[in-house]
Amino acid sequence: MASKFQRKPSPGGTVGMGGGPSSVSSTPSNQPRKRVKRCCRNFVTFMCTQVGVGALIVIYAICGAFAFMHIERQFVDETAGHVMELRQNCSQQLWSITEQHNIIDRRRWTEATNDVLREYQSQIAGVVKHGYVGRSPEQIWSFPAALMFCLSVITMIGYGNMVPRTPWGKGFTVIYATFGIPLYILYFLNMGRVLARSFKFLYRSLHDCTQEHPRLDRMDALEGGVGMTRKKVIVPSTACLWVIFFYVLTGTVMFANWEKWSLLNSFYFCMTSLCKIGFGDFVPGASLTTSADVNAATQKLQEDISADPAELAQLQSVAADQHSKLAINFVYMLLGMGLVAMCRNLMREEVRLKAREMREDAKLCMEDTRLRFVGCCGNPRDAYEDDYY
Amino acid sequence: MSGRRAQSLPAHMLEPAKPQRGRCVAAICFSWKVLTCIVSHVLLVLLVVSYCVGGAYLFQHLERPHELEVKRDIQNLRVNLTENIWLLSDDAVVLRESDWMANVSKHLANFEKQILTAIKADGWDGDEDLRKSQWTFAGSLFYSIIVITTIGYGHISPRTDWGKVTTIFYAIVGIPLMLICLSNIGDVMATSFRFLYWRICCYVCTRTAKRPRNARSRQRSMRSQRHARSQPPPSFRRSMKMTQRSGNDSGLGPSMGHAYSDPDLRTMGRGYDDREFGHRSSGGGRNRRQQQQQHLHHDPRQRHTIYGDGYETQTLNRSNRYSSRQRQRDRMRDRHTVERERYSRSHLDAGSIEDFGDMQPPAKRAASVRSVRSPHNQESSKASRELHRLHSAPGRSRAKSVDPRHVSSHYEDVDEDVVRKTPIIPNRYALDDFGGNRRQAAPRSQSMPRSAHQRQRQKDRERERSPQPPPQSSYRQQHDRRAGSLGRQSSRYGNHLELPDYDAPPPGRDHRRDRRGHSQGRYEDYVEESFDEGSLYGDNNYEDYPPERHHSRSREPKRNRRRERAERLPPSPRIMSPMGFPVQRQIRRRPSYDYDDDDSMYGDEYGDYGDLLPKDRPVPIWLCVFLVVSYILGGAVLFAYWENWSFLDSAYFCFITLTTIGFGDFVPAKGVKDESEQSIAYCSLYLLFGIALLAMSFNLVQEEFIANVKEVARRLGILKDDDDEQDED
Repeated sequence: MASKFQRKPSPGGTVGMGGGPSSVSSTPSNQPRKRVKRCCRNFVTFMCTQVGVGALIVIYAICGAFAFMHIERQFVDETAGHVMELRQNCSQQLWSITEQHNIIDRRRWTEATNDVLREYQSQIAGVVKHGYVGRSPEQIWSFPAALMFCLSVITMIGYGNMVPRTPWGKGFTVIYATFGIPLYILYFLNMGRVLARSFKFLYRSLHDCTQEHPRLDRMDALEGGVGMTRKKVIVPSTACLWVIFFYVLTGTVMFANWEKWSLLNSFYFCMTSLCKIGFGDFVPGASLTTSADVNAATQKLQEDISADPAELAQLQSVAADQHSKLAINFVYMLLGMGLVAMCRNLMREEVRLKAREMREDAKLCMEDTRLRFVGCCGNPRDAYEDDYY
Repeated sequence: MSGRRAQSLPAHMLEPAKPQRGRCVAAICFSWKVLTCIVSHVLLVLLVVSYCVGGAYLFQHLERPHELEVKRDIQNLRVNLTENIWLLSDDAVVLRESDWMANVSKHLANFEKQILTAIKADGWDGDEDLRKSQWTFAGSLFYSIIVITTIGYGHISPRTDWGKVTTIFYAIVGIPLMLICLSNIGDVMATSFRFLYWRICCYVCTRTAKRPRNARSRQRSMRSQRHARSQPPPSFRRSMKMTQRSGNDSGLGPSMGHAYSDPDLRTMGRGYDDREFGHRSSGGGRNRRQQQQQHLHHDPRQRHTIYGDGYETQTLNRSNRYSSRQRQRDRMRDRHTVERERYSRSHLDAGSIEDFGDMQPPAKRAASVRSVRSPHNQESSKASRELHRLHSAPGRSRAKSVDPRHVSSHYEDVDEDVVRKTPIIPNRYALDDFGGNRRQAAPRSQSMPRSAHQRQRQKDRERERSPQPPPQSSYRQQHDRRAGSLGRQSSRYGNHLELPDYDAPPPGRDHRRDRRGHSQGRYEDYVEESFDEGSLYGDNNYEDYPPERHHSRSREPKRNRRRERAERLPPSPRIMSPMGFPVQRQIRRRPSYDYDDDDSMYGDEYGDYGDLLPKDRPVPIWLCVFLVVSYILGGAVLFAYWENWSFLDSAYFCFITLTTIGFGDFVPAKGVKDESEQSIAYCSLYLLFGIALLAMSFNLVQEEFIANVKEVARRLGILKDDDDEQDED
């Protein structure tokens, strides 16, 4: 705010200085050149700010994805071997129980088996809590998944479905977030401002089309009335909410079709992502509970040997789909954040206006109270007023 | 001597009536401040806390039955597995170890996947005990906190449909509420931190400079003894001090006399004569007498504005800022005195422009940027600084009028104003050698509208005096109404346009009242109002047309602004639209005050101790960054101790938490079961204070950062003033 005030008077002073006849004579000759120069400067500014920031975010995310793939694939996952060892131990114990007890004595066998399985279950649960997912790091950190991870870091969503496990990965995440989050905030503000202007322009156009008055009548109404000016300037918050709602609804239908979630789960995912909460229970593309993976696992269990070629073809098609899906998800998230910023800007204007009106009303009320109070005990004031007037 | 005593008598007569009224109104202001503080801060925090607690009960009620059901399902899974293995053993005729173990491994692998799905999809916590649950009150409260702060660990999340729907609406309402609360607390913390920083900084400056001040303090003590000998009333003593100070200034040398014969000061002096001492005016007043009249005249207007404007509603943030700034200003007054003596001594030694440049260089720029600049840039920056100071002068008076002050601070304020005005003189003297300043000063002295305005004011005053006073009660009512209208001219002026539905009062009285308030307001905010009108017109033009035509229309606002300044007519209805008028005025008032305070702070600080602290600024960026980093590392140490993580993991957790990313791979309640409630409490407190600390840091740093970035961009040639103006629009 202070910088804004510092800069504001100087062009006024410059204009005052330039009020002489020399600038009047030189104005028409320089005007086209200055106009062209200003257009070029504005174009370069636009390219550097909006398009440049967006491209910078995309490049930053892609580079981060490659870096994380390189770092995290070096992680040696010992938990898979640990799980296999646990499984062998459990089988061995079960066999010894079967040998030890006769087949006839079912009750004691059942109790012993229950104890062994409960222990096995708690061990598996502990391993899962420490990060076991059931897949190798190379399967986990594919490029689309890494890209989604980078996006969740930059936008501060933080799904948590996949996290860095190595010390280098954690350190790099901290540095990556330190530089990525300000970049995202810059994109957020810029995109919000641009979209707010566009939406305001669109809304004003629609509003002008809706009202069928000629231009002269509109000018008269603008000079005479107050509500006209207010309606033109401020976009109501209901319009912003409708835009957000339609965007979320589109995302809901899209994710429900692709990821085979229910509509409520898709809506839940969209809302938690756009609000930057990001629980991570539903993540597109890289989720454990993807129905494609579940179906593939089920088919692998049912058909051992004969289904290998079909399985491979399905996995390839699933991988190809995931690439395109995640690209569209990436764009969806970035545009969604921009829309949220736009609505924040527009609603902030309206809230500011209403707060100002409320403040003026409160000021009037306080003034009235003060006048009554002074009217009750105004003896010292009379002396002062007499002297002053 | 007798003339001075006679002139100071009215101020002395006003002395006893003031404390009674001031005390009464001060009580009202204080109670209003306390009420505002309670409403804005404590109530908001209580609202957030109650929202979290309500959410905790709600989520506990919704999600706990589902969790118990999941635990029972896990038991059923295990029973099914046992049954399958039994059937496997029973069906086989001959038990071979390899075949049997292969089948059992297959079943165990399937069971493993089911456990994995139960943990990932259904939210099982790995414990079959029905008495233990994730969704206890503490767990639900922690969940509510991570929802409204948008961290979202995901270690517990809603699994039922109603839980998900409730989470959505809870987040939509809770996240804005939390943002409002954080911005409020961040603002308060930023103000407190800035106050503490400047207090420590001033203490260090005062302590280091204690030795060279001894000689000056000796002279001051002798002067004070001389004053104490005569024992006049306090107002008379203060006026004597001002007179001697002005005498010192005028005695600096023959070149300083030219500053007082400046047409601007002459015009202002004439205005004061016409206004206050019309019946006492003389043809050729001397410089000293004019200056004294300025100082004496300064009292009634400030006194009136204080009583008129001081009782408007204000928030505690503003009052806190004012009180801290006022304290800094009191502390800086001594520094101003020291600087003036030092300046006079240096001027007597070697009077040249170079000394003026050294005395008050721009402290706001960075040191590296300052070294790069050329003398030509210095000249232009000096001229622009003069323009800034001239334009910000009415803004200063306006900002000061809003601040409520006590009787004692009133005289201090006058003294400070005199102290602040004095250093302007050497800059003006330095700028007299340039051609730009002379060309700039000439049109102002020859301006017809100002003299026309003064003539109109004389007519108004005569018209006020000519009618006879009405009876007592109506006379008192009119005075009250007039004072009220003068106090809130801006808001009433705006409200008059915004609320046309009110019944109009009698037209004659209303017309007279509007004219009087408007004329006096115009006199006080002379330069400010012209800027308001210009920007108002530009703003309306920009709003009327689509943004594509901004560039073609960019010249028209300037032309209109120039015409407005030249004519100074009352604004037309289009410019007086209620949307633009209050917005611009209220926005314009605050930055002028900030600029004024910053300017005095910078100039005073650097001019006094230029060698000791060349890079001192309000609150530097490195201090905020250091604060945040130390908070993260401190939290890392604590969590490493509490949760038995490694230091790197703890630091990683603290960073992920404070940036609200929240992966959920490290969550305090997950590792240690016995003390989960204590861990949740510690993490919640760390979390809330940390986010408030980040909000404070953003408040302190972002203004500085934006200014630095814009300066670098302008230096690189990317931005210009026109682009900045358009961007601001």
